[in-house]
Amino acid sequence: MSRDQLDEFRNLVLHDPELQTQLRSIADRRAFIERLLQLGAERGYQLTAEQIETALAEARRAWSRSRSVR
Amino acid sequence: MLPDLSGWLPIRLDWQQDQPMLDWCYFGERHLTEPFFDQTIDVALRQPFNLLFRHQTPLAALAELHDRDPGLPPSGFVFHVSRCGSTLVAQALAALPQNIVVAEAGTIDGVLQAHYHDPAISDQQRIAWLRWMVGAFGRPRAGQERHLIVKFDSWHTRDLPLIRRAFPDVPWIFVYRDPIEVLVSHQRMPGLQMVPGLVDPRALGLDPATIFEMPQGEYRARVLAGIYYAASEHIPALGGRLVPYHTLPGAIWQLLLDEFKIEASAADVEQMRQAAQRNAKRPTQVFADDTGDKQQAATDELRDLSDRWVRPHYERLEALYRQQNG
Repeated sequence: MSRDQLDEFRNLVLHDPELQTQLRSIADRRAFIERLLQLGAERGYQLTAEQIETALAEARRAWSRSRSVR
Repeated sequence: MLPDLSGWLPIRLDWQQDQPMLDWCYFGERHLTEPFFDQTIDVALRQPFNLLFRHQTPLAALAELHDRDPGLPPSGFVFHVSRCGSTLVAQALAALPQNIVVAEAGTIDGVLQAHYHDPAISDQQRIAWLRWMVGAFGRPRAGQERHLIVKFDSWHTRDLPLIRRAFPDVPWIFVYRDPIEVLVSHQRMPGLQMVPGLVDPRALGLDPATIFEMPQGEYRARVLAGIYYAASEHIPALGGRLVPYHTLPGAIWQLLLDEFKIEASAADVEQMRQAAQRNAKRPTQVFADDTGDKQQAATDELRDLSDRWVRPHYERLEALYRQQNG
């Protein structure tokens, strides 16, 4: 249940347009996480909702830091 | 190997071990309608997918993308002094689905400032990167796009000679207004360039050793002076059209469409008129000429700063405008 699993799965999705299509349109965060867990499990990835929540929050913070007021 | 970047746009240029890297975000067919590209990114990042899944490539990978899909050649560039109606121009143009309007994208700024990060980066390198970066934005994503318009950051006016070398045939305009009104606006809500240290002072024509020592008002007036000066120097040689604030929004459909060779039907113009009726930065509010309000709000100190640093260049621009309009 390591973070590596999530990183590996992210990489897989980034190179699989079909998986991307299944995930892109989900606007609801909880539904997105559930779908991600399901798609990951189907492919042998042991992901947790907590891991995904953490990764989403980190990505949000990283963008907020680099964003500028013009 | 480059991943499939159809529908993806570069959102961030980041230096990792002195290598410029790009983050990409999926926009699909989404039209860029927000006043600034950063705001478009904010909207895109509301989708959980876009937070979690971003391609990252070396900046140099843009060369391969450009070979595969160079994008639309730019129809026009918008330069400006900031807080002068340039966002209104961009918003009116962006109201038409055939126009891709890229407004002050951070990745374009990153390319133009790359040599400050690594002095070994040559002008030739920046020119190539700029062409590729602009091309990446110019790839049609919905199929109906015909024109690419880039609105640069205000301080990029100082980079006009390099930008012209990259795109010698692209028509460009310079939007400006009385500097006192610009300074009042920045006093109310300072832009990025008006906060010392947020934009590399060298990009603003200032000595890094002095920016934290000079009074805030002088800093702002000098940043602005650098932009007005650059425009007044480059316009005679490089041929841009001047668009004063008081000619907006009419100049958008009376001058700009011709200048940028954008074909627009009567319905298109009406759509742009509608867009121009809204406050460009706060679309829920109505656009109103605020010259009187800003002139009234100007303090004597601000007027002195404006007169000392910026007004001579502004007056030169006004003289050039009169020349351009016979």
